Amino acid sequence: MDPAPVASFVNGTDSRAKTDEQLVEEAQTGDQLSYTTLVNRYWQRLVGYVRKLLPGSSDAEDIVQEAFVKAYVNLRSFNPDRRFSPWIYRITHNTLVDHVKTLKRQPLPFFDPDVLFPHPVAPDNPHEEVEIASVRKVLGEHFNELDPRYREPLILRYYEHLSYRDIAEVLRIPIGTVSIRIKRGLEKLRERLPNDLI
Amino acid sequence: MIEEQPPSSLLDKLQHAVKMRPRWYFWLRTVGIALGTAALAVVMVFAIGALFFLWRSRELGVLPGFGFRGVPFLLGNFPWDAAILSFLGLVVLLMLLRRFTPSYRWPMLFVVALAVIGATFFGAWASRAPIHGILANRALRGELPHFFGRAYRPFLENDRVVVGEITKIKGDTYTLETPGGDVTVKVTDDTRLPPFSLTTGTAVVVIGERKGDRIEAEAIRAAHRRMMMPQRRHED
Repeated sequence: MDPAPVASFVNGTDSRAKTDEQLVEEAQTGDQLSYTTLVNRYWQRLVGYVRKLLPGSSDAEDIVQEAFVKAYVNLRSFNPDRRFSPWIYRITHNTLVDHVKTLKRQPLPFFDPDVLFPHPVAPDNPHEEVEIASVRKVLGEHFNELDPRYREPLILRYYEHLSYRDIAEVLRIPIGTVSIRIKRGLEKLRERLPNDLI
Repeated sequence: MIEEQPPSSLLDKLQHAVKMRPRWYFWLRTVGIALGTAALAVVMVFAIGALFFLWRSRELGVLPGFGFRGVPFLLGNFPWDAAILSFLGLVVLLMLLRRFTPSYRWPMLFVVALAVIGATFFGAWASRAPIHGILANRALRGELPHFFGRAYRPFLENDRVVVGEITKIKGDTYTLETPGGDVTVKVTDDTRLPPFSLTTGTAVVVIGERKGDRIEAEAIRAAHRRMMMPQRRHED
C-alpha cells in the first residue's frame, strides 16, 4: 500500500502544504488521514535516526512503529501551540530506551554528571554545509566508537537538523548539557582523524 | 536513495486497532499527578517540620558541646524517622518534578539546591505549627500509636542523660524538674561545668551516671531554651 497519494489531500487541500502542528490539530479531531500524512512525513527520518543509534539492528522499523502508535494514542495530550518534531523524536527516543533496556544490550547510565552542573551554551548558529557534510561523514564512520551520550546529540544535530533547544526537549536534559555533549562529541571525533577534517 | 514508506500494517493498525485517548483522560491524569505531588509536598514539609521541632525539643544542639561524650546521645536521639521520611519525600518529589515538569531544562544541581532550600525554609516554618506540640504532648501521655509515639517523644530519654530546669540549688546538689519528675544532680570536682554560674530557672542538659532519680554529673551544659514540659489535661 502506498499511502502517500491518499494522504496528500486532506479536507480538500493539499496536506503537504500544512504544518505538522496543523495536521496534529486535525488528527486530534479524528481525521486519520492527517495523522497518516505525519507518519509519512516522519517515517524515514525516524527509522534513520533509530538505525544510527542501533547500528546493525533490524528492530528500527518495529521501534518507530511502536512510537507512532504511542504518539497516536496520546495525541490529544499534545499542545499544537508547541512543535511536533521534538515531541515525536522524544517518544521515539523513549521507545528506543525501553527497547535497549529490554534487550540489556547497552548499560544505561543511571547517574549522569553532565546534567548536574551548569555549562555555557555554545551559539546555535546554522553550520556551514561543508562542516555538516564533514561531520556526517566522520560520524557515519565512527558511530560505534562513540559513547551513546555523545552519539545521540550529534545525530540529532547533524542528521536530523534539530536545534539545541529541541535536542534538550527530546533528551530532557539542560540546553547547556546538549551544548557540552556536542562539543565533546566533536572533540572525540577529531581525535580519530589524522587531519583537521572537522 | 529509495524512499521508505511506512508499512501498511502500521497504517491499518492506526485506522482500526488503536484508539486515541480522550482529552479528559489527560486532564484527569494531570490533576491526579498535581494532587499527588501536592500531598507528597505537604507530608514532606510536615516531616521536616517534625525534624526541626524534635531537634529543638530534644535539645540536640547542646550535645556537640559535650565533645565526644555527646556523640552517642546525639546519634541515639536524632529523629531518624522524620529525617528518613523527609529524605525519601524529597527524592520522590524531585523525581516527579523532573518527570512531569520542564525542570529538566535547568542543571540538576540548581533543582536539588532549590528543592532543599525550599523544603528547609518551609520545614522550619512548619516546625512552629502547634500540631507538633500537640502531638508531642500526646506522645508523652502515651496517646499515640506505638511507632508514632516513640518517634514523637520530645525529649532525650536515656539512662545517662537528663534534661530539665533547675528548681533548687543546695551546695553542690541541684534539683531538676524534668518531664519524668524531679531529678537530683550531684556535682563533683570532676564535673565539667558551663562557663557561667548555674541559677534556678536555667534549663540544662546533664550527662552522668544515673541511679534512680539521682545523677552524678560528668558534664553540664545549658540548654538553648526551656524544656518543653508535657501539658497535663485538666482531668489529669
